[in-house]
Amino acid sequence: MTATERIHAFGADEGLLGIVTMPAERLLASSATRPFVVLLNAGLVHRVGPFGMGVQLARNLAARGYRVLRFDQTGLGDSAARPSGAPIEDQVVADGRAAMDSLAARYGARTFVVGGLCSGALNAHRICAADPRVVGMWMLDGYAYPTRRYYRHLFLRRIRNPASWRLLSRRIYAHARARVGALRGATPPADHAPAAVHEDGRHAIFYQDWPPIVDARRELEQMLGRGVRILFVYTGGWSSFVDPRQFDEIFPRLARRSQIRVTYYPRADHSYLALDDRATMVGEVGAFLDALPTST
Amino acid sequence: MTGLFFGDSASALFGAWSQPPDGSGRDHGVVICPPIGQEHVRTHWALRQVAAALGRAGFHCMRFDWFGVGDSAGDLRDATIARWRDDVASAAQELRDLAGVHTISLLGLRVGATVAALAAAEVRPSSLVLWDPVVDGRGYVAAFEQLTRALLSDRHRYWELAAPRAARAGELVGFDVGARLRAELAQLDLGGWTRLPHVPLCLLRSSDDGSLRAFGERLGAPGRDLELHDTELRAGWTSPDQVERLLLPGDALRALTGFLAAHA
Repeated sequence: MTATERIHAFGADEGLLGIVTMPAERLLASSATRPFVVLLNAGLVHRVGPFGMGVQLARNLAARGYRVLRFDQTGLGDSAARPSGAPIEDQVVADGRAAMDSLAARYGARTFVVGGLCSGALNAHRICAADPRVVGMWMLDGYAYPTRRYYRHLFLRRIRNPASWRLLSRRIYAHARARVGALRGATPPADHAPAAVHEDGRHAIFYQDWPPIVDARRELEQMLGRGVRILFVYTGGWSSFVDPRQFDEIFPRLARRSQIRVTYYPRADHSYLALDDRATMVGEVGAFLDALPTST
Repeated sequence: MTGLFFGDSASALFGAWSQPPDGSGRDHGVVICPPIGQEHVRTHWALRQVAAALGRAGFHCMRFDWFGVGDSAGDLRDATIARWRDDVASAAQELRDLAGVHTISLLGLRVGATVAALAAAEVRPSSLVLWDPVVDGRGYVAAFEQLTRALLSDRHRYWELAAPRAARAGELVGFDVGARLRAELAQLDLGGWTRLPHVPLCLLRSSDDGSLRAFGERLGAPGRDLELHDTELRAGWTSPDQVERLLLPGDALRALTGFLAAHA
């Protein structure tokens, strides 16, 4: 028997819509000993995800023996609109908790892994930091702060390829702005935001900024301290990250670093357009989940 | 809005059923047929807005995902046009059963519009809204093959690109379409099709496509009840920089709602 899917409405006034993918019957018993996987929206894209990434992840992870929820956060996809005035950061955490509460009530789930791409990665961080039921997290093109290695990489590439000077100068300018913006709390450059944000007039609602690096580190250490395992997957389509060693420059001498795995796919783009790249990423996430401790 | 699965349980379709406010409903439902592939992802928000606007105008609506598309069962490469025609009929019947409506209109966008037109003989809609239908299947597939190549060699997408990448066989704009479906899509020819039902028809255009212009001229022949709207939208269906931008319904919303209300 193959995986099955069920639609659930949950949260305030049952305004959130999600779909649970259950593993095949022969894997059901073992799946109950594993964390429930929760997929978050990427930017403004509904739960199906860019190029169907959300559905592909859900069904592939279910085939490996995981129960998976993909859902639309408040104001996105088929879920209800966001109450006016509610801070987006609080809403994200409330949505994540509502999802986990619902899965606990319906399926007896006690531990969870959350994951997402871009703004979904940022939201995974927020939910993981706020709720101790989260034991694992993956971030696709997550934290990326410029380091010496980053600037050196850009400089060397410019030397090697004069034709890209103009492109590189734009990139350096964008990240210089990001760095200054982060210090001042200003709005970061446009290429950090989902493409859809720029045309639909809702950017003021959905635009999200990465936390200052000191806050990111503090919360990361807290998560690691309670045993959370974390997978960071970066791509060559994420202009802020250029080398897997950049992660340890961003967060040097991190305690419990062994709980973190960092992977870099220089050939892949930010939203995994190419089928081969997406399959590789899905396999990486699956292997990360397989390595988690099995207890609920 | 209520999310549900319907149809054969082994290959269930995802549907989003929306109802008008209490007491204001018409005896009329609208089945909304979306595009496929990344166009399906891009237009989800717009079609949700369409369903909401039609609900306010008193219509029951069923948005659904095709077999192999979105949240429905199956892989895109296993889909066929014949299966999708059946999906339209299945969605229409589900809406009739759920809402108790007796009259159905079909509203489709891109490939969804084309398949809706093909399915009209069986569903017998009272009216038909075709929004940027794929008129020339061969041109559609060729354009998406070109778009795939452009995306895979885009240095703004691949910062570390050393050489242009090749798509896998059957790969179209991030989806595995497969050889059979690709061939069937290429055979779509709405322009040469002579069996469009003689019901009130609305053609919405939001892209500058020669085949769409010719299709509109042909539909404008005497004896057909046609409304033609050129919207202010620029959908950019085959533009690399629009591939991941969500489409907003803009003035298409008023045009299609007005048309359906006038013909309900």
